[in-house]
Amino acid sequence: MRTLWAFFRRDATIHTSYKLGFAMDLLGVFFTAATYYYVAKMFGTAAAPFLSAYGGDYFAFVLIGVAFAAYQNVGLNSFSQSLRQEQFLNTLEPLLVTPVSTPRFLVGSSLWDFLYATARVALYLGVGAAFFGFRLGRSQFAPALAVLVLTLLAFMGLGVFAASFIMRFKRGNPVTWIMEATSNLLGGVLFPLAALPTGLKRAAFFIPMTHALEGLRQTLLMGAGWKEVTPQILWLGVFVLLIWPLGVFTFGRAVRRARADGTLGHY
Amino acid sequence: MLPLSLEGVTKYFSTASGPRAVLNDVSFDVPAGGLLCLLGPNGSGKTTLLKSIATLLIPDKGRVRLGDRDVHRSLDWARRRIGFASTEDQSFYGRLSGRMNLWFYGQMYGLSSGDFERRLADLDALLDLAGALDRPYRELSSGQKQRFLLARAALHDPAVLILDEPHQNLDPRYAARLRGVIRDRWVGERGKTVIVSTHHLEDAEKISDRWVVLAEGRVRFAGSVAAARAADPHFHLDRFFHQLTEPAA
Repeated sequence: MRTLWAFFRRDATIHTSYKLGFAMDLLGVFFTAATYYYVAKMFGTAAAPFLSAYGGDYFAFVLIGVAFAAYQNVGLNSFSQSLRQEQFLNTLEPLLVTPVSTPRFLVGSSLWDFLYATARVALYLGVGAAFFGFRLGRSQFAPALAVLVLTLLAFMGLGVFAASFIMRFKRGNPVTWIMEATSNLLGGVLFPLAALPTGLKRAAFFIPMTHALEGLRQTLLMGAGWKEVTPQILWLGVFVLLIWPLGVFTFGRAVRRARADGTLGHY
Repeated sequence: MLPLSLEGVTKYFSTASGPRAVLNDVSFDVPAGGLLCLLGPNGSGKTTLLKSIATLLIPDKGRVRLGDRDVHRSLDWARRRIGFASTEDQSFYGRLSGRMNLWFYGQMYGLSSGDFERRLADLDALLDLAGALDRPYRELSSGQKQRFLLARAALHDPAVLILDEPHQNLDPRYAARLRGVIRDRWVGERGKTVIVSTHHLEDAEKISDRWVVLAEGRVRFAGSVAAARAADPHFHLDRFFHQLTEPAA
């Protein structure tokens, strides 16, 4: 815990020391929520046939999508950006001569990003509730929390895998590219999968975002319990069990290769 | 106290014209509590060698042994016992204070708050960090940053210190003080095993009599400079060094 706390404190201090950027980032949440509110208002009931499974309210649907999709962005980019930053600042070698383990280094260096993303999710929901009539009245928080934890672990695992490419190739990260490109289209962030043709719906099944958002929307908007979101929990659980060993293994190999090549601190 | 020994350490780097040996069959010993100066012209392989000892680079051949263990097969064990000060004085977080930078690295070694404060007080007494501890690292002078490189390396009280050009950016008075800290306190009183790399012959002679001279990745001299001086009535330090490091024909 001491190591993780040190990473968190380091990153929180650095991040909040850029006061204007920090304030603008938080203010941006309000403008994003407001934008989708007026988009939803424009649609009115026209989008209802696609949204019946989520209560028919596009604003609630898209707010959950945009708020929680941030976790994918953090998961995919946090490790690799931290790594790039450490390489760029010349702080990677001093860290790697300490006995800190690879998993701790990876989790620690992205801890602030995940907790900050969580604060932004709460802010999205709070702004939605305070200004735009968003309600979580029927929510089932226990299964929602389970889906959220698995979502975080899934995206973190993908991030570790993606960071292997940064360690090895310095620039160019196909994992992030593929996941971001496909999740925006197929993950159900801005529109429900019901709007997609059958072939793309099938492809969407293989995207973690699809199951994460479906589970979160069902529990938070429709009051779905454990039984209803079991398929999403199982899918995400299996994905987590597969991606983490793969990510830690490939990252460990990439570090070893960089130590052999003498490219550990290169960027 | 731990002895350090290198056995046939060889390292190749890829170049456009094929693999190039940056270190070639490098072998020498540093006894437990010993102080050795590593010398060589620019590009001779000093930093590559130090990084290999500090576990940042894996040798293609040969072994680096600390006590009876190969450091590259006992990474966690070795990293707790080796402190490495590189030449990168920018390798800290500029927006954090000097103290917080050191606290962060202390946590990586698992130091408790009490241990960290004790270590910091000790390092402050040795290296005179006080004026710089609570200022953002980016505002420190080059000389102050150099002290933080040394403080970070010694923070976890390692048995072995690997110091790459520790006198760079230091004024002559502080450089003399640092030589005293290395020679008298860390080695003399506390029994640490220390390797200091430099390309300043006068500095090296003031630090230790035991030298290893590298050129083109090979050991050209390993032994006592005083013995070399005693054996040659016309001994001249600069000439001695230049003869050793002349490129091979």
